[in-house]
Amino acid sequence: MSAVLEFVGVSKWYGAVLGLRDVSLQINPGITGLLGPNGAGKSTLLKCMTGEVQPSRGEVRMFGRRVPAPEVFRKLGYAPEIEVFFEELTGREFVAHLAEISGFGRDEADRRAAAVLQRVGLESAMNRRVSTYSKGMRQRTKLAQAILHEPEVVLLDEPMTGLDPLGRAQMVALIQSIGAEGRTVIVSSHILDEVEVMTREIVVLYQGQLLAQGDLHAIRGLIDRHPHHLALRTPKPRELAAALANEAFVVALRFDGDDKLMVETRDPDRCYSAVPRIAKELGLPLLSLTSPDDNLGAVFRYLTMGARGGAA
Amino acid sequence: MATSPAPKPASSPAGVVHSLAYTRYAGPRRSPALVPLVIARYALMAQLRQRGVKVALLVGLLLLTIFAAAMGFKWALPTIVSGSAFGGGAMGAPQLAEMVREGEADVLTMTLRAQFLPAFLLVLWCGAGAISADLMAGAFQFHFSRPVSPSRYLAGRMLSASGWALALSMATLLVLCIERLAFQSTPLGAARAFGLGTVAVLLELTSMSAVALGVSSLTRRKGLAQAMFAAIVFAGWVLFRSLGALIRAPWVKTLDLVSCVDAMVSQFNHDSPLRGAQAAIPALAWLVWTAGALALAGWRLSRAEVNRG
Amino acid sequence: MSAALSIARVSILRAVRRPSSWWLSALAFLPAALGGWLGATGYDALSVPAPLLVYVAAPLLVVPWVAGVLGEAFERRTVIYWFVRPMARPTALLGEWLGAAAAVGTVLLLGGAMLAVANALTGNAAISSLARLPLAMLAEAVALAGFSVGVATLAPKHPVSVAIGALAVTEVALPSLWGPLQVVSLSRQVLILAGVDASPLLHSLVGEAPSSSVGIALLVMALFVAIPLGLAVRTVIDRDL
Repeated sequence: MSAVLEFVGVSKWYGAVLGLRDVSLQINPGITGLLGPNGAGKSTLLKCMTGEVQPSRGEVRMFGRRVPAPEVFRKLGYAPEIEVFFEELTGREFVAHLAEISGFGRDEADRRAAAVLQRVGLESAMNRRVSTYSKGMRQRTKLAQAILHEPEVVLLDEPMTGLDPLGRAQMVALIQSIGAEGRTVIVSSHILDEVEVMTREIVVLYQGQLLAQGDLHAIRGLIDRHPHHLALRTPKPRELAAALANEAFVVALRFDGDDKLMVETRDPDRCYSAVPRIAKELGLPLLSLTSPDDNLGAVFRYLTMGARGGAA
Repeated sequence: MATSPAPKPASSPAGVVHSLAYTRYAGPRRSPALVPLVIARYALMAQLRQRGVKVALLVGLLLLTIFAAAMGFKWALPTIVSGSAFGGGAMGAPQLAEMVREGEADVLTMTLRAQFLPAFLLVLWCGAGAISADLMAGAFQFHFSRPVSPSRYLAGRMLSASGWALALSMATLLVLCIERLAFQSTPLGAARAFGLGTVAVLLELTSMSAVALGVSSLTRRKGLAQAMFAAIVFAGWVLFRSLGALIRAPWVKTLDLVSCVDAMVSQFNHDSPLRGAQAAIPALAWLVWTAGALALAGWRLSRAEVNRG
Repeated sequence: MSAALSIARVSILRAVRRPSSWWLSALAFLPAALGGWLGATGYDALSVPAPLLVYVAAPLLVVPWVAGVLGEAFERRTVIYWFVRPMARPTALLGEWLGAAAAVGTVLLLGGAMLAVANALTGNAAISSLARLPLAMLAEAVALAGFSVGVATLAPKHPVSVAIGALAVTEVALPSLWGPLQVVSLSRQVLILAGVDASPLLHSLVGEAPSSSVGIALLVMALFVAIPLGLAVRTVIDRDL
């Protein structure tokens, strides 16, 4: 069975400027985080999916059909990163208008507009003109117009931009609920913490190239240039360190304060299972065991640092 | 009157970081009088990267070539004819004087006529949207958070609105004056034509760019400002010319933005139908358009500055 | 087609709610006011106001109204909300044209009707002029709206200045160069459709006009729309936004 979304050798140049270089990837249902520093090609990748830009080489397929095609657009919802709408309309009129263009009759379009605006939390503001909306309300309106026709694929370009912390949490919850409905959701974002809350499936772009794709933990495991770090808290860290020093999977040990031990390892899975066992054998209480660099921020940093210096 | 020192706080604040490394820049700074030139220089460079400006400049150069060729031919023809086997003999002194006077009048008229359309397009493009674009982008902070007064900003915008049109018009004037010198005129006559032509070009472009900036300051929407400018130029032209013709009052025809300068040029050429007190009307109309538009822009700019705090 | 109609309806709604539409509309009624005043003071109520309406007021009303707004939609990329829906991109242009033509057509029809009424009230109008002038204005609105949609699509960064520049060439510069070139002038065709004899005035403004028929006038108007709109449709289909 083919993937929901497929890039086959896609390159895009804007004159002499490279947007994407030979990107091939497949995306399946669930939430996927699209990550990369500024200018990495995230927006170009999304625009190729919506037909906003045509690839200079290669092709983009959605449900096996080449983009852009009206049949594809029936199954696609897109919230672009722009923050302007048809400002003279109310939120409800704006969304209903786009529902009509999506093929719904006027009454059904209006009903759907009201329902979807309610879902994104704009029920009290839906009859106000868009020109009076705050940034957060605009982001919600964009999300509403993207999901009003119950698309199978939802593309969200920087949906967290301009939101306050509460707004971000609400937006994350909304996106999670859309993903939980079995849709394919692609979220481009700079805010790694929130992407991490939403999903562990990521696509990382760097300078127009596909740098990594897949499960966050699996990608972390593949970055062998940087040993994994484990932070242990125990009342007698030196005793534990003495025992761990004999283990082959330990690369380095470092003390951090009176009760903290930092372990560097190239085999985190073995380390995770061995450390509690050794502590138990020594009769040492293990107050905490955390991995400060098995997170999206660290992975993103390692990946992009690796790309700057050569292969990771 | 002595002032008492500020009372010390009862207790030290919880945390204070004093920057000891900061020293105020005490080096040389250029005079604020140069601000308009700086604004204009950057705007003119940016304009030159726009395709529309390049097209208008190319059209202007094409018209310059066509008019230069046509006028050169016109002025050279009497010399060719009188020197040829078909020549009707030497021209009389009064005829010669009349021909020279007409030629010098042509320089003024043709300079304005040749470059009217490119000048209009350039001012429309570079001036009528200039303040609107700054209003839309909220770019006033970049200017007015520095030692830039609204009047200097406006002067910079005036220069940038009319800079390329001025260059085209002056190039046309220069070419026509050189041709005059080559075919008929004396250095003094050519210099006089150049001087009057410069005044005419400056009058035309000053009023045009002032009005463009005046309407530009009224709206954030560039397109609307450009349409208003075009409306003032063309609607005024059609309206006052038509009304003047209808009610048979030549002075009415000189009230619009374009015709008031044309009428002053006719006065330079001693070819104006306006006599007595009516002779002052074109200059007054020019003054009203220019000063009114500049006052409007200045008022809007001072409000924009206050609004944006 | 329903998508085009929805876009047209929203285009009208947006225009009604935009303050600039209202005061741009005033342009259409100024010639009627001038005509009324001229008629009341014993002059011809039509010979100056009608060309003013056709040559100046109509283009300067329609261009910012249509080209300015659509150009802004391209420039600010709001058209993407349409272009990711299941419809062909030219449908959006068709919808914008329909909406704009209906809105500016109504305004110019009323402006033309008021001028015709002002002319009739002063007692020197043939009854046919009551119908012909407003209808000609409606035709001009439709043509200018199509032209503006085309220009805004082709030159979205500077739609108004490009449209005004193009009109300055077709309506003023070319006809001033050589009388027969008035055939490219849209306004000239509208005056022929309206049956207004403005030749003395036009002669003083842009030179001698050749005679022309209503059929040729309609053909020229159709070309005036078809060329920019056709190019726009070709461009919009595969242009990157």
